[in-house]
Amino acid sequence: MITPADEAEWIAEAVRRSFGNAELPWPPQASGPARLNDLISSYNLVHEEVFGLNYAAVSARLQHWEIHWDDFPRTNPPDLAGFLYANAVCGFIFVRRDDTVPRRRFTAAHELGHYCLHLTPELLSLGQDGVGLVAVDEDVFEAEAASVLARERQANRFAAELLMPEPVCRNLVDRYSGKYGRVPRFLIHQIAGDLLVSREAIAWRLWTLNLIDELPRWLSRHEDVAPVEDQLS
Amino acid sequence: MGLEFLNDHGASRVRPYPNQPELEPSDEPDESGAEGGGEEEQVDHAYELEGLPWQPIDVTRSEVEWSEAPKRFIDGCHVGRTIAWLQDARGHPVPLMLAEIGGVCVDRESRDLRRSFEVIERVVALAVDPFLWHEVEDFAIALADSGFRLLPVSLIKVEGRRERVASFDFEVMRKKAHNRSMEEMGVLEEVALCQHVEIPTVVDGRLEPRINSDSRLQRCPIIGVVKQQRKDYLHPEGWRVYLRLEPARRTPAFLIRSAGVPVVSWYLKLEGDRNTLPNWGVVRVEIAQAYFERIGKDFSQINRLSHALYQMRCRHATYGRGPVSLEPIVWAEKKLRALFSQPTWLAQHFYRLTGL
Repeated sequence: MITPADEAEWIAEAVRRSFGNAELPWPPQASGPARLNDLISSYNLVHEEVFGLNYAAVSARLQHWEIHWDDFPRTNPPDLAGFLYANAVCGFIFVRRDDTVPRRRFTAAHELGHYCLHLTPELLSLGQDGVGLVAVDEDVFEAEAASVLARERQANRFAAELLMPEPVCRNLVDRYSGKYGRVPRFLIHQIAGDLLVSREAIAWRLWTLNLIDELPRWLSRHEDVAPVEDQLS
Repeated sequence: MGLEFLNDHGASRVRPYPNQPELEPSDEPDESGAEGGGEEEQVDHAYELEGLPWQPIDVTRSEVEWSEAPKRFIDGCHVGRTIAWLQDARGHPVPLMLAEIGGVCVDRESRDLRRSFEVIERVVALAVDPFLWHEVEDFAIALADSGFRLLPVSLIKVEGRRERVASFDFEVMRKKAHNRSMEEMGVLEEVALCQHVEIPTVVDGRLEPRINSDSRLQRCPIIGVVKQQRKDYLHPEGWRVYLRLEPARRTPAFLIRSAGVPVVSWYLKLEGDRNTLPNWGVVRVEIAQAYFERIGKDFSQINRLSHALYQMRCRHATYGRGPVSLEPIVWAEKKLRALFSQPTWLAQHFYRLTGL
């Protein structure tokens, strides 16, 4: 059984590898959003944004790339937040275009997390037989603890570390606190803007990194979950 | 894509123009910064007088204790306008607001005023959700490298739909961008406020948006002075007293209960004579209930505070909002504005950077 510390290190290492793969510096410079587009493109992955993303839309988009994937439930196709298809030679990330930009970025990073952490090792073990694997996300929550399912939690943590790297968060909090004092609302607004992530996502991130003392009330009213470390212990 | 984002989406410049009417009234809050807010509130009119008849209260009978009177004054400033617009793939207009925003704190030292803190930012407020995320990402990175912060503007919430939508009404979209920029100015005001929360401080406007985020602030001596009245907090007896107020008189205090920041509030007349409108020169003052009850629910302190605010009223006849303004707040705004760039220069600078 993997310990929380081992899991955190495994994910952090995967994120560092992704930055290296894209020839981006680690730790990243604390100015502006993470270059997620470059990070995804450094793998042999295509990403697309699709209005009303569902199984049928995914199948149609894959068909466009001459990949036949129609092994999906045909009744009441759910609305999907994100979808990942990968085989031994290429992969495709689809995100729901109807979501906000910060949320779409988080979902895309989450799918990249599935690719790096889960599908790539499975594909390696299967060899070059052309099999395609998928990860389906009906919804992606930007709080890394929101899912108790291990794979979802791990992909969330990967996305959080990729878009809001711990050293960057610490640098930004130090920089702003040094100038203006530690004002939680300011930190949340400012760093969410700096990193092009949602306020919900950065509030959770800063809280789990102990960089703010309490979750804002507007967030704690909506999210009734404990931090990931609590769930694993 | 970077700064070419705007040109690639067919952006064009917009000259300054008066705000236009919306095609249909929207739920978007007013831009004036006046009171409002849709949260549920309940008013307890018996909070001070416990059922006794309401009468105007002469605050000059209580001597000002200058040691407990407000020493810090917080104001925000927003100078900006829609300088360009583009269209999304479905043809919706997407206005781009360029603004300089800031928060300032002025300290009162004896009879002098001194600027003790300021924070200023250049922001670009734009609805980005209609565009591809990787294009927006490049644009945000390029803006950050040029000293501007991208403020993503939310689209319009439609009942029964999870996703938000854009509008074909340019004015609705422009107002969204403006309000996003104003919201961020409020955050900078909060930064100025939080520098020394233990010192009695006046903020220009309602307390709720400024101290709601941190429960500790509700126990601090922070006073909100609301210049524009848009909500009816009084009962008929209260209105009769309000309309009879003379300068330096206040209404009895009442309690406004809300889920966010319950406040003790009263109306105070700063200026007006027989020939002015009955509601001329009246401000509404707020302090957090948690703070007021922490210091013993002392209504004589409300009189002393009101008298101090009356003494600090703006006496410049030339200043348009003078009758409902405090001199230190007027001074703070003036000092902050002096630090801003010329709006025309800023717009030209942005046009040069983006090739518009």
